[in-house]
Amino acid sequence: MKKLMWAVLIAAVGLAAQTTVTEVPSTLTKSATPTGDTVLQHFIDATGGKAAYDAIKTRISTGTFTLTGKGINGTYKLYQAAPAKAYAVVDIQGVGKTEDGTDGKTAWELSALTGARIKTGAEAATEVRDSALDAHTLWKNYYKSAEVTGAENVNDKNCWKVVMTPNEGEPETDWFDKTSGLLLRESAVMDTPMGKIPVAADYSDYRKQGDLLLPFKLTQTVAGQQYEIALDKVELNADVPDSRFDLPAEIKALQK
Amino acid sequence: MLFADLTPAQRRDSLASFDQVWTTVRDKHWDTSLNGLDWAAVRDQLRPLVEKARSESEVRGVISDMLSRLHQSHYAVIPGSVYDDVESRGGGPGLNGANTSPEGTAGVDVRVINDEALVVSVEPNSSAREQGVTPGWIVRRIGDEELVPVLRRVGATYQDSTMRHMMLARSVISRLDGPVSNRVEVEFQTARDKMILLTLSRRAFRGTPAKFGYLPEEHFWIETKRVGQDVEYIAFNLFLDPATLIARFQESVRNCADCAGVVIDLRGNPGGIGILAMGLAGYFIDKPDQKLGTMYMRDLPLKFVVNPRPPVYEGKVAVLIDGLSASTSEIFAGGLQDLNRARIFGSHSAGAALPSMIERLPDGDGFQYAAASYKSESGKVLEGVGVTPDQPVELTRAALLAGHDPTLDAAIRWIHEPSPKGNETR
Repeated sequence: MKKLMWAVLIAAVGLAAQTTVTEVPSTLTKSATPTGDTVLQHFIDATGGKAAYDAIKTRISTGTFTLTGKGINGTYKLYQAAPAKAYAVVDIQGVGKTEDGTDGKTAWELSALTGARIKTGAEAATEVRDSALDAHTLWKNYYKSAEVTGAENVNDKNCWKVVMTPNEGEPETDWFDKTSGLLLRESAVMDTPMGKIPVAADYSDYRKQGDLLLPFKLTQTVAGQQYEIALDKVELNADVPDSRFDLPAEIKALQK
Repeated sequence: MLFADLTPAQRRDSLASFDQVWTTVRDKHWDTSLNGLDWAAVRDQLRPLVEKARSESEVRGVISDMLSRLHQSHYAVIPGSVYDDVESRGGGPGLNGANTSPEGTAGVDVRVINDEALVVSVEPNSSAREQGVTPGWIVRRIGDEELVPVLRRVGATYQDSTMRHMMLARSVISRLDGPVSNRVEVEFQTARDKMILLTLSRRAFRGTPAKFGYLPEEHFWIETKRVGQDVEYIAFNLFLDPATLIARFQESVRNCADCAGVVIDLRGNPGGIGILAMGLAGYFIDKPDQKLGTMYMRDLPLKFVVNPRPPVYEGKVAVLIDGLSASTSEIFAGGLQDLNRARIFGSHSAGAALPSMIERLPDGDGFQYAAASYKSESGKVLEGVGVTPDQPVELTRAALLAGHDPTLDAAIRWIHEPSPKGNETR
């Protein structure tokens, strides 16, 4: 559907510094429920640390897109640049491209199937937030609160369940592995012109990339349909021209 | 009336069929509350009647009773014989025996009008065209099978259904189609009412093969042409092959920006990728946030919102439909009608807006059900109801024999009429 979950994750992953899973903070090993701040810090530390995330100014993610069980697949590419610019494209043979992005101000979508549109309201805010490379290290800039609401298992891993309430839009829920600190699952309600659509995403296949530990696989469920994005390559701080984030002509035409 | 008791195997299959239908409704109906119906109680009441049933028709009656309590038209049990009539595509009788060739067509398209299978078009480069078959001829017999009893049987089963025309035509076409290079004997009633027996070779379907995921391969075609100086005509057989459809559709509309009107011919178009209804509507809708309608799925409603595709065409839009226009065709036509952006010509559509599944039951009958509901923007339910043309046009044999297309002619006349002020596009 869109890169909401993916972008959130990428933004988070674009923050850390250390390359190995860090020592688990004592507040997370005790039975007492930690604060959301503590769980998020554990995630940042576990995936590289704040300095490593801060060092990331651009990111290019390349992989494949598969609509599970439908025999529909294509290529996937996502460009990001600090502070909150993004351009993503899924290209499915015989169908065409679905692109979306933001220049940090205007959020948009351009689909071969349905045409062009400018996102507004909570949907636009989500796009910009998800595209931010500092969305996890500076999460308080984007979210009003992060509250641990309990513990649940995700794929046999004991996780903290954290409800994150953004400055604009519906709350999102994240599940962080208590031991490793990794983000394993995320759910949210996407506010789109087609309606409010529940989305759930599982993150897996974490691999070391530079100083960061990044998930290379996203399995997302939208309206009962599952799709998967599997990354082949992630390039950090590669050269990405700013023009990559220019609004497409079709979007500019809608602004007139 | 005396019935022979069912055999143990038939009784087992009957109960399995009842259970399959009951479970499918419980698990797949878009309204999880089933409109307040106590579905478990319905099962408890009716299942014993299947256990006691003495004939297959009694079993069918009990299952139909169960489905009737849903008060929804696209839930039905189809007798096994009729299921074979309408779903036997590729199983049409041939003269060459078993054949593993790809599916092909005899090159003849039909509609059943007044209980007669009228030829409505003959494909170029087809065996039928080469042998002189023309629109207005009547198909009387295919292979050894007279069509009258087939049409009577299918017509009776779908007597009260909006899908009647679709099923009647399908029962004929499924017999005409078959393996490529296979031949089929067809008896026609010609323009002069003479009976003639022709042997037609089946050839590849018109268009190019198109795949969408694991869906079966279909041949897709799109035809665009200028009618006179100022009317653009666009017809396509499926909402498929988006890369080709969107590109050709856009080219056609953009090349006719100053035309008086655009005609979109969806007669015989059974639908395809639903989202393409929104994509194509964007060429005619200039305001954002306009909806064709809403699909009500089991988990959530999905609004079919149109994204304007500037420069948007501002002239008149006519959409042609008939009883074989279904699914995405109905979403497109019904949506533009509700948005007051197109005038609809032809005959009532199939009322099969959604992927209405027909699956075989253990006892051999077919079970038809829909997994969602759909309402157009004005709140009209399309499923089981269909799109009603603004201007109904009757298809007649006389018109076909005279080489006319009365539906297209009516649309072109309307395009050239001056419009009432404030209603220039409809």
